[in-house]
Amino acid sequence: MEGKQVNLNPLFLSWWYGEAITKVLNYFGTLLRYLADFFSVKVCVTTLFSVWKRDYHSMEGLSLQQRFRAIMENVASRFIGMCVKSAVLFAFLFASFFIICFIILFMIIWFLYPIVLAGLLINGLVYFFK
Amino acid sequence: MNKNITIKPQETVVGRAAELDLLFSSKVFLPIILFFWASGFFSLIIFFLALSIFEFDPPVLGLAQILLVLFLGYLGIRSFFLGKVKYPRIETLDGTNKELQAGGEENIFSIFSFHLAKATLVLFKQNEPEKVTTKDLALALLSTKDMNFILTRLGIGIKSLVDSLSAYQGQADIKGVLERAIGIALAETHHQIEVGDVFISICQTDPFFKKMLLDLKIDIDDLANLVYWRTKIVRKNILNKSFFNPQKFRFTGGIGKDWTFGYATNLKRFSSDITDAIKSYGLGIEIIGHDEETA
Repeated sequence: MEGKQVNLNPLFLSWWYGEAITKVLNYFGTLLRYLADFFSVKVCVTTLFSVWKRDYHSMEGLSLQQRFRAIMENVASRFIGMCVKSAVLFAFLFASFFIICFIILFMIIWFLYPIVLAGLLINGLVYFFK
Repeated sequence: MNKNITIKPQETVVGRAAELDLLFSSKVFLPIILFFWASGFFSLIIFFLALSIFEFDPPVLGLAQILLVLFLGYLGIRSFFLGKVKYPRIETLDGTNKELQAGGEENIFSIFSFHLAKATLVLFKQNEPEKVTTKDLALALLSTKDMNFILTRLGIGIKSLVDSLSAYQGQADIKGVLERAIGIALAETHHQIEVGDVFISICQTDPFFKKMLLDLKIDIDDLANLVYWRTKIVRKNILNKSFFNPQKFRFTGGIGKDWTFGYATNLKRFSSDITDAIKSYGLGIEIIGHDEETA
């Protein structure tokens, strides 16, 4: 029953630089989309200058003084909304920056994996016998 | 058509995977695998300490780097084994079936699931397929977790089944059984031939198993539903174990999903919006079988 044995080495290389990279990139793409979802980027961008939690004061039937007060409250509400959403967008950009840096570093290591391992090994041996 | 089926485990990736898994899951290799993990943790701790407070001698740092290389090498091979060799993405089940229908020759072992390959590896490595009987195949399958799951739910004890099989000779048409299993696997939307598919095929063709199901008043559809259930669980477990699995992310709308709504103090106090959670997670209810009741 002994037949020719399948060789896994070429399969490893084709998987490492093909299927696996696609899978990892797909994962990181979804991670970035998840980050945008977590920080509600779409909501923050589309409603950046909207009033906070629809806390809008109508000016219908109000006196001039009350109108002025309502305008001020509406502006304040928009300002609060803008501040909160800007802070969240800033946090998103901050988190994205670190994650993108990590992804780039990860992909470089992934591509240069055999060289990284060989380099570490040679360096380790040099240090070990120093 | 059976003549076109060959069973050569060593010529297939899944056969090699089963072979390697049998080798590495032995007790001899357990300390070696533990050593790789320990080297990884040791080297990372050394690097962390070296970066923060401690100063290590060059040989210690060198040793940490060598151990890190071993650990990273192990991780690479392990991810290859789990991602490609053990659970390959096979999209050729239908293609294999068509090839066989057209009269082409196929090594059917290449479309075995990992668990089926592991269970039947020794059997097909040591024997010509023509000499393997349905009894041998069934006995090989009975050692798997899949069969334990299926038989427990059918109310059949594995030991009693093995005992009752001892006096039985079995049938010789193993290629026919496996060919039929392809059709069952396709009907069950499996990516490969699973342990349960082969068992169903045996139950459909072998008089001993036919009688057993008849005596227990078990319909073949019930068995098929159990196999479907089991495979769904296995698939889910594989996905959950996979590290780079994008399906693990749950999109819920995030922290600002209700910032566009007005204040609803009482509504918020006594209720919660589960729309996005349901969209993302689903209801988590799945009914397998009971077609008449759910119709």
